[in-house]
Amino acid sequence: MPFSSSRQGGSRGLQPHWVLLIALGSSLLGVAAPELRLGLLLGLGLFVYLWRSQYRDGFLWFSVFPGLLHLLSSPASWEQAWFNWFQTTFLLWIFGLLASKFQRQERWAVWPGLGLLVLYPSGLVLALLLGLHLLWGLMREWSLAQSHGHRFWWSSAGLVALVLSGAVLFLGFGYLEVGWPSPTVRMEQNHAHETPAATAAQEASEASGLGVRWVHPAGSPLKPWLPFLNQALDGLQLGILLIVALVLVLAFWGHRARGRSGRGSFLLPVLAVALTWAMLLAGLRGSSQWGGLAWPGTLEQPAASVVEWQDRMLPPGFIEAGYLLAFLMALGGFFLLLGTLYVVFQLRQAEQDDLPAHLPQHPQQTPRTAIQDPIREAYRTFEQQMQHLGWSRPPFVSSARFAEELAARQPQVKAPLFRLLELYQQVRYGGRSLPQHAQEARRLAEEIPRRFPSP
Amino acid sequence: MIASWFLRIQQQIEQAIVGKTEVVRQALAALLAGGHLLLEDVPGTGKTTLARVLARSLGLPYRRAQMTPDLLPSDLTGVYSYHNGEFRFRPGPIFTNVLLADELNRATPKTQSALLEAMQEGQVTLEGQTHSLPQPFWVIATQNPIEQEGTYRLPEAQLDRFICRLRLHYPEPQAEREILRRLRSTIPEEALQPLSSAEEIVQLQKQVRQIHLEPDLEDYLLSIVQATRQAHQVLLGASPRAALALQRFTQAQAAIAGRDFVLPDDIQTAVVPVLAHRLLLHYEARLEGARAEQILAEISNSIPVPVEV
Repeated sequence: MPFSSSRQGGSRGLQPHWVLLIALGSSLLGVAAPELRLGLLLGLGLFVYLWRSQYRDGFLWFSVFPGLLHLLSSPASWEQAWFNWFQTTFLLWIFGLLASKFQRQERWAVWPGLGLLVLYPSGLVLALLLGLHLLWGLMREWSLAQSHGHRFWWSSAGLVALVLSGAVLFLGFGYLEVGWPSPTVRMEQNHAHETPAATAAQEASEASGLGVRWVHPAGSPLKPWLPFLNQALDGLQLGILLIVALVLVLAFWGHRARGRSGRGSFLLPVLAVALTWAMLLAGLRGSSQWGGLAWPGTLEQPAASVVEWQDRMLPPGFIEAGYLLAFLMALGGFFLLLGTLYVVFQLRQAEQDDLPAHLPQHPQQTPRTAIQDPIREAYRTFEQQMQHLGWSRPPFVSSARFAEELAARQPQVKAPLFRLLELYQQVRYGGRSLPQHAQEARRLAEEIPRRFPSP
Repeated sequence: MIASWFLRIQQQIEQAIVGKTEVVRQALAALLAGGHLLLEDVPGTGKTTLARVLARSLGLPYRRAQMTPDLLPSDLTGVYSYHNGEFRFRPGPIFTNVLLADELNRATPKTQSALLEAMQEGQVTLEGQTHSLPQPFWVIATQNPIEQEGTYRLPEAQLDRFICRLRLHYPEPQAEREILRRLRSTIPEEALQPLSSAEEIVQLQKQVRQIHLEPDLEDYLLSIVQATRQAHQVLLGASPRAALALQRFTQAQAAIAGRDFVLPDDIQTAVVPVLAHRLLLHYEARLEGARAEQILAEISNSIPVPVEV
C-alpha cells in the first residue's frame, strides 16, 4: 500500500514553491543596493509572517511599510531616503506579484505603482493615467453593483479609493504647471536659490529650456498672482485631506453602526494605501530643483522627445496659461468631487430606502397566506392569542423553536403544544390534509394559551 | 425505515465515538444525501477515527489514502500496466465504497483535481477509458485548519463538491473523561459490527430523494442561498450546486428524523455545514474578523420563516 504514513515526513519538508520564493527573495537581495537590503529582509519576513496568518493574501497591501525603515533611520537626505523607500517598495511589489503565482494575493494594492512609474517625464501623462485609474475604479464599482443586483452601490473602500484618486489627480494637475510646493518647501526653496550652486543650476536649467515647462514661475506673466494661487491650492490640499479624514471616520462609524467589532484592523489596508498615495504626493510636490522632497533631479528632466512633442502639440502661450488652467481645473475638480460624494450618498440612501427596513440586503420573503385548512387556521389563532399574552414569535424563528421556547417556560403545556405543532407541521410542510384532526387542533389552540399567565 | 437504520448505526458508533451525536447524525445525513464529507478540525479530535468507525459500521469496503505532496493522481486512480503482452488496468485505492482522503489539503492541486471527476460523476477516466466506481462512493476527507505549512488550499470547485464540512471540536470535559475510561483497556473500534450494506445504502439514498419539500420552503431555501450572493462581505456566494446540496441534505435530515417532509428547522440546521465552506469572503471582511459561519447565521436570522402570520 503506497499510501502509508511514512510519507508524511516528506510533506513537512521544504515545498517547491517555498524553494522558488526563497530563490526569488535571495535574487532580490542580491541585485538590490546594499542600503536597501535591510528593508527587503524586513519585507520578506513580513511576507512569511502574513503567509502563516489568516491574511496570507494581503502582502501587497502592507509592502509599503518595510521601506519606511529608510525614513526612520537617519538618512543622508530626505531625497535619498524617499528614493530608497520607493525602491524597496517597488522590489517588494515585484516579489509579491511573483509570489501571487503560488498563492493568491490582493493585487490591486499596487495600482499606485503606475503613478510612481510615470511621475516623470510628464505630469500630464500622470494626470491622464490617474484619471484612467479613477475611471477603472468607477467601472469596477459599477460592475460590482450590477452583479449584486443593485442600481448603484459604493463600498466604503471604493469611496476611499475615489477620494484618494481624486486628491492625487488634483495634485497631479497642480504639478503639471505650477509645482506649488508647500510653505515649508517654499522656504527651503528660497533659501536654496540664494546659494550660488542653486542659482547656477537654475540658470543652466533655464538655458536648456527644460525647466521652464515644468516648474518655473519666475518667467510667468501671472507672477503677481502666484502667492494667491499657491495659497488657494494649499487650501484645496487641506480641504482634500479633510475629506479623506472625514471619509475614514465615516467608514469607521458605519462599521461600528453595523455592529462589527471595533478593532479597527479593517483600516490597516486603507491606511497602507493612503500612505502610498501620501508618498506619491511627496514625490509630486517638489523636485530636486526646488529643494523639495523628491528624487534626484536627473530623473525629473523630461525626455527630449517629450519636449519636442509638447512644442509641436501645444499652442504658443499654453504653458503660461497653464497656471490659471491648472488652478481652474483643480478648483472644478474639487467641486466635482464634492458633488460626486453627495450623489453617491444620495443614491445609497435612496437604495436603502427602497429595501424593507428589517431586511436591508435580502429579498423579502412573502408569506403565503392560503390558510383555508382548519388546522393552519387553528395554529394561526394560537399564535395570535399567544401574541396577546406577550409571547410573540419573531419572524425568523420556526414554529418548532417557538414551541420549544414556550415549553421551556411552561413545561405543563409541553404535551398539548407539541401535539398541536405536529398536526400543524403535517399540514403546513407535509402537504397533508387532516380534517379528522381539525376539532382537536382548535381545542388545543384555545386550551394552551389559557395555561399561560395573563400579561 | 431510515430513522430506524440511523438509530441502529448511531447506537453502535456511539460505543466508539463519545459525545459527537450531532456530528455523526450530520455525517450520516451526508451519506444518505449522496454527498461527500469534509471533516476539518485540529489534530487529535477524532476525524480519522470517526471516518474509520463510520466505514466499519456501515459494512462498506474502506480504503485510506494519506494525501502527501508527492502523491500522484495515478496513485489514487490506478494505472495501466503492461503484462504478458497486454495492458491491464490496476485500480487504485479510489475504487472502493468509502475513501478516506486523510489531510486532503496536503496533496498538490493536480492530485486533488483527480478526485473531482470521481466525486461528481462517480467514475474515473484513464487513457480514454471510463471506469465506474462502486456505489455508493463516499469520500471522507480530513483537513487541518491550523497548519499552513506545506498545504494547498482546496480550490473552490473542489470544496463545492463536498456536501458539507463538519467540525468535531474538542469534547466536553465529561465526554473526554468518558473517552479516557473507555480506551483505557479496550479498543471499542474492534467490537464494531457491519450493520448495513452497499445495496441497502443505495436504496436509502433513493428514498431520501422522495422526501417532500413544500414550495414555501423551497423559496425559503433559495432566499438563503441567494442572500449569500448578495452579502457585502462575501466575494463568492453559494452556487446552484450548493442549493441542490442544501436541498438534498435537508431531505436526508428529515428522513433521519423519521419524517417524510422537510421542516424549516432542517434547513436552518443545514445552512452552516452545507454552505460555510463554499463561501469566499472579501479580503476586507476577513480582516474585520468575519467568518462564514457568522455571516450565514446572520442571514438565517434575517429571512422570515414561512409560518402562518
